[in-house]
Amino acid sequence: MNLIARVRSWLRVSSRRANFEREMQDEMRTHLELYQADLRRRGIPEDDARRRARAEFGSVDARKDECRDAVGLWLVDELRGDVGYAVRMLRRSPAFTLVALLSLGLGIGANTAIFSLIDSVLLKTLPVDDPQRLFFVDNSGGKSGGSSGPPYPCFERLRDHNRFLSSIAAFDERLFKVSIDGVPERVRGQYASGSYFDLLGVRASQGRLLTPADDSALGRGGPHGAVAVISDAFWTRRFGRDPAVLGKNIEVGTQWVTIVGVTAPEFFGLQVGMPIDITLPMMLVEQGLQSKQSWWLSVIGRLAPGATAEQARADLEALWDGYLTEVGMPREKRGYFSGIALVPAARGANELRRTYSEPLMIVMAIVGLVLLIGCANVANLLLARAAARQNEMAVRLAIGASRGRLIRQLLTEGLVLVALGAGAGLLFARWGASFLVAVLGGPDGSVVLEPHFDARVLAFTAGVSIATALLFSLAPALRATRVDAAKPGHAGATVHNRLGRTLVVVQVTLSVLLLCGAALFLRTLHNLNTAPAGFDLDGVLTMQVEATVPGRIVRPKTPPEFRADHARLGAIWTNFIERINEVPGVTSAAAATMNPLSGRDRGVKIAVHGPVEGPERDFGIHINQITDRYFETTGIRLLAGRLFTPNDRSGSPRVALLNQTAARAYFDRGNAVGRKVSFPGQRVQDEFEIVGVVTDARYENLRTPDERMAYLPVEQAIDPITTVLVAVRGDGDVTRLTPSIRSIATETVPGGFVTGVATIAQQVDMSLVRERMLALLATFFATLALILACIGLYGVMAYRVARRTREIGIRIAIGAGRQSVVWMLVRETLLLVASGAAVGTLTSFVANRAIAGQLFGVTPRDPVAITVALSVLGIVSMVASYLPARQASRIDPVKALRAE
Amino acid sequence: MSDATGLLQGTLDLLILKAVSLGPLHGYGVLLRIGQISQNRLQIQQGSLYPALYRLEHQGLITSEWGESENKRKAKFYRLSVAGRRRLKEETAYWRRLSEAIGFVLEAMPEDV
Repeated sequence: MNLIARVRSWLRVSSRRANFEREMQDEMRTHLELYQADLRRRGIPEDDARRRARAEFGSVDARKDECRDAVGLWLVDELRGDVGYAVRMLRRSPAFTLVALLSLGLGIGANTAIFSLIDSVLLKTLPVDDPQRLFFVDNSGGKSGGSSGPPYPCFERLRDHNRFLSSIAAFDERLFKVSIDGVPERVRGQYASGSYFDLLGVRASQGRLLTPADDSALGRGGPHGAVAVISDAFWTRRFGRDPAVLGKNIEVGTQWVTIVGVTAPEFFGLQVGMPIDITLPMMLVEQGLQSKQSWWLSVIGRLAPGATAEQARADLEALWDGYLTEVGMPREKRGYFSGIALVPAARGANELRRTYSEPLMIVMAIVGLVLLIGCANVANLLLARAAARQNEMAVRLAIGASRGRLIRQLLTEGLVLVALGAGAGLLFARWGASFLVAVLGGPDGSVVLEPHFDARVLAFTAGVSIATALLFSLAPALRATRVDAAKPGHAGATVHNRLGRTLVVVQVTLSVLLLCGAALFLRTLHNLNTAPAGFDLDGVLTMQVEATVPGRIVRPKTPPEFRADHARLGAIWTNFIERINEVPGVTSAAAATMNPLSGRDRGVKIAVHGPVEGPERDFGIHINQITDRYFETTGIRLLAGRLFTPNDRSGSPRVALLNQTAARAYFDRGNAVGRKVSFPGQRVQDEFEIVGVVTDARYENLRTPDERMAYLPVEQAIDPITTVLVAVRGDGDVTRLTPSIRSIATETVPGGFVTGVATIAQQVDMSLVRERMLALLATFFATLALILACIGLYGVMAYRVARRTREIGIRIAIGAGRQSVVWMLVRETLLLVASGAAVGTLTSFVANRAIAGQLFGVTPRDPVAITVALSVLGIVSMVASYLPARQASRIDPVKALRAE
Repeated sequence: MSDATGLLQGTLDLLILKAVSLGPLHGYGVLLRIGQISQNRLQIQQGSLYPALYRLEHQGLITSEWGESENKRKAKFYRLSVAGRRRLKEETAYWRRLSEAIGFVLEAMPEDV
């Protein structure tokens, strides 16, 4: 109570200081006048009255001071004095100030930048109503995070019969081809059920959002026809925030839809970094809604008031269990789809988190270490200054300042320094965060992040800064004030030396850690770049081409109709590729449903006819449907049998190729040629003869070991192929072929829509974004750490040389060679570096285990990385210690002896 | 002993609280009121008054507002706050106990020992 009153009073008077002073002045003047008037009334003459009033009141200024003290204003006044003094001290030594500000600014800035990213990727909750009660409804065997919800008919049952969710919605993210006024572009969007926006509590900034009525008629939408909602970002980017966008008709895929609303600016979907720009009702999904066993949906639910997650889970699982039994999936055959899991959705789907949480944490640790090195540096500089200021401290103690008072002043100096550093750091952080976002976003901008420097981030920066200030200024302040007032200029020197040397050892240790880490990440990047991918990646251009085939919602029903449909689509691609192969400069071209590192995948079950001789009992296999010159174009080689030829068309016998891994998995020593396989559960139940075996290649990424793969000719496809990836090998710069390929696509492919033009080499680069980011940042910060450590080393060395000028002078005067003087000084520093290096190496053995998951082809104790790190450190520290030592050896003994 | 310098430490605060408890007063008024109710047996040293007032206000025991003095000057009037009233009661009780005890001690006769 009392304390609160005091704080309130203190804040009031210190925030309105001028007012306080004026009122105090008025109050005392009134007092004197009243007293004077009283005295006059008692018959005392005017002059005497005034004199007596003043005398009895005493010095007005002294009274004022006592009043100020009474309300705690001394604290403000002292602080103001200290800050002014600190600023003067900093201005007087610009070199010290510059080094300190750089150390702190870079350290604090890097920490702020990384934290702002971590905050937006890992920590922040979705900008929706009460996000803590949102859950993804996943199957418990799947990877969590909203990519493996139940089939749509099952979702309908969960929606209509569950008892513990107040609302439930399905959604499915897609990359749409959106045509606005005839101009097509690729837009990230989703199908969502009518309750989606209402469930999340998202509002419209224009028009209205989807309603359950909009999502009521299969293939048509609802009473208002097919409608769509766009994001605020898309509205801005594509329509310039024109309100006339409401009611506009645009084409999404093959469907015309009417834009009815724009979502609020803060809403970006459920996945950080992957904003949704257009949302269509679920009922417009072209295929799969009625499929009873297709697992493609994501489902999100909101717990009803009072319900627990476990109640809801058990209830949903019972419904799901009934559904699966009905559709002919008894419990023992479910495998992967073993039950329901409710995954907290407060922070959205976690794809980006899964990919980046570990790298971001590693980078956070790195910048934390850099800041520590910076702190050690500033502490060291302050120690040197403290030694220089011993006389000042001794004098101030002698004339009555308390030690606490001096420590407070030195801490204030630290805070001033760190406040300036934090200011510089915030500028650096803004720049650094934009740079990081650009690196993470990849060259195609597929990940969209906007780090915000909001109150949370600023609070983090302030916290880090204050901790930093305490860390680097407390010890020097304690040391500096531990002087004997009676003996100025004597204590402290050895103390500084010991503490300063400890700090250098710490800096070297941390630098070794960072250098080792950087070397490991660089080696990882190098290993991945040179890893045997199974492809010949040079000089191959790739792009995605999508055909628009009208009337696809009404699908053929019988297997022969499917077969004819697939063959018709296949023929489009065969024709398209033949035309590309005629272009001058093209060595070979091919179309495929998967390309290396294209991010596309298709997995099916394979049935081997006849005995399975290989060890593998998992019959899941990836499938790639290709035109005949695919292998020539990608550099995959034939191992046995034959490749596809132009004769493997829709009318000819069904043929397939396996990669080596698949052949070894199912057949005796890989002897697969001549055997028959089929793909159960697909629309086309044909029997394929294996005509050859080809080498393995890494499709998903460069780290994942080779997986089983089957190749089919595009005209004998088991899927309707409306989208292919084209690979073109040519002479010289292949990108110059792009315009001709585009025009052939327009001519020969219905609606031919070309996206993602890149060389495969560029795609390899893109797939290594995370690794490159780690290597880049680790190297950058390790270099920074090394520079800071060397500044520390140089500082300690220069200080020692300065203190020992006289001794060195004597040594030289009595005949010591300059070489031996240099060696004497360098030796001491190298001892520090060596102990730091030893501790650092041992620490890195332990610490680097934490980054093992991010490495490829190297172990955390990789001798090459450690050797490189130690050599770099050794060379740089030699230079840093040699320079001051050489300077010392040039001391003129006569001058040195006269100096003191 | 009628001089304020002889006052026990903390007694000044008590006197001020008591004075303003009888009605809002400006600083000079506090002096007069104390003189008046002690029948001029207690005189507060003028200089020590204001630091005490500021300290009491800082502690939230009294509050102040600007008004007009008898000679038409702007003056700051102090009044007792709720916390101040409570403190005054405690201090009064304490003072009574103390003076009673001291009185008792001073009355002591050799035969009482």
